[in-house]
Amino acid sequence: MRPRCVPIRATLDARGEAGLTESMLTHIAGCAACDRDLADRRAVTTALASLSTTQYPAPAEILPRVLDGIGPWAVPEPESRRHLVAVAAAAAVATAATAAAAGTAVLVRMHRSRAA
Amino acid sequence: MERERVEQPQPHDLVERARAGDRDAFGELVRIHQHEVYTLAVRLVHDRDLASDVTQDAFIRAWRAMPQFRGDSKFSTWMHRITVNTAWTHRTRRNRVRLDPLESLPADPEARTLAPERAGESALAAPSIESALADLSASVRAVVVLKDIYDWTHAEIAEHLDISVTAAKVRLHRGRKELRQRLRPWREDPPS
Repeated sequence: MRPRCVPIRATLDARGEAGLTESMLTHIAGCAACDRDLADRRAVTTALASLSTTQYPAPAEILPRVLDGIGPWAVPEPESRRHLVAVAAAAAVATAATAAAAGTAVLVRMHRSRAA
Repeated sequence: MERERVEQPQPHDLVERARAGDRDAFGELVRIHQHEVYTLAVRLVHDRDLASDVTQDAFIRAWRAMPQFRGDSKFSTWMHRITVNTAWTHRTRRNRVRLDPLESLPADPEARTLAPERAGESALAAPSIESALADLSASVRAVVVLKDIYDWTHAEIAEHLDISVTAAKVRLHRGRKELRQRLRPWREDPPS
């Protein structure tokens, strides 16, 4: 590799072909090593891009396994419903706490009246 | 090079119904997208059995996360992200990724080409490039697959693989360089 080739490879590594200047392109056109390197890079890009149009068929068992896995018990609740459930739960806790406090107060009063 | 992402038809109402907890609608989404999710999983983990598990888990995770899916991206794009995260979880759990020989991958003859106009190019290039990809380390291969096949940005790759953007760039550079070296003999002496 000649000294002039080094910055060209570095540019291709860092920025791809978009980073090549006119003088670099002129060098590549007359340098067999750089020309081959660029061709190799293009071949890899093309080969990888070609894979984007290919799919492997999923095994037939995937769909039933997913449906079995999500099951009726795992049905997600919309956020609005979850919010309502949370509010209802908080209200229930608050009601229970109030009732417990009231019950305690009644017991205390009964205990005091008996003591008197 | 900008490439058009391959998208399956996805009726919007299926996504909406699935978000509302409609199991049948979600099943239809699985039926439509299972092949592309499985394909991505195969390319990431390079193991047919593990890819099946990743695909299954990815869809189950997606179901649980459906209420949070805002539709900012396409369902398939969202599924790709979940698949990558799931594949990486499996990889971490197993602490290794088995690298099967190409023959044990889903049978190449069954692979379907989506763009008929590129069928010849794809059929010629696919076996060799898939084989070369299989020889890369899992962490390098994941970056190459996501960048050069699925057109992700470095930032997206870094976020989902839990690495820095610099690390993503370094791995991409290393992966492309290895692929060039592995594909060179094939290019110079292509199979007839």
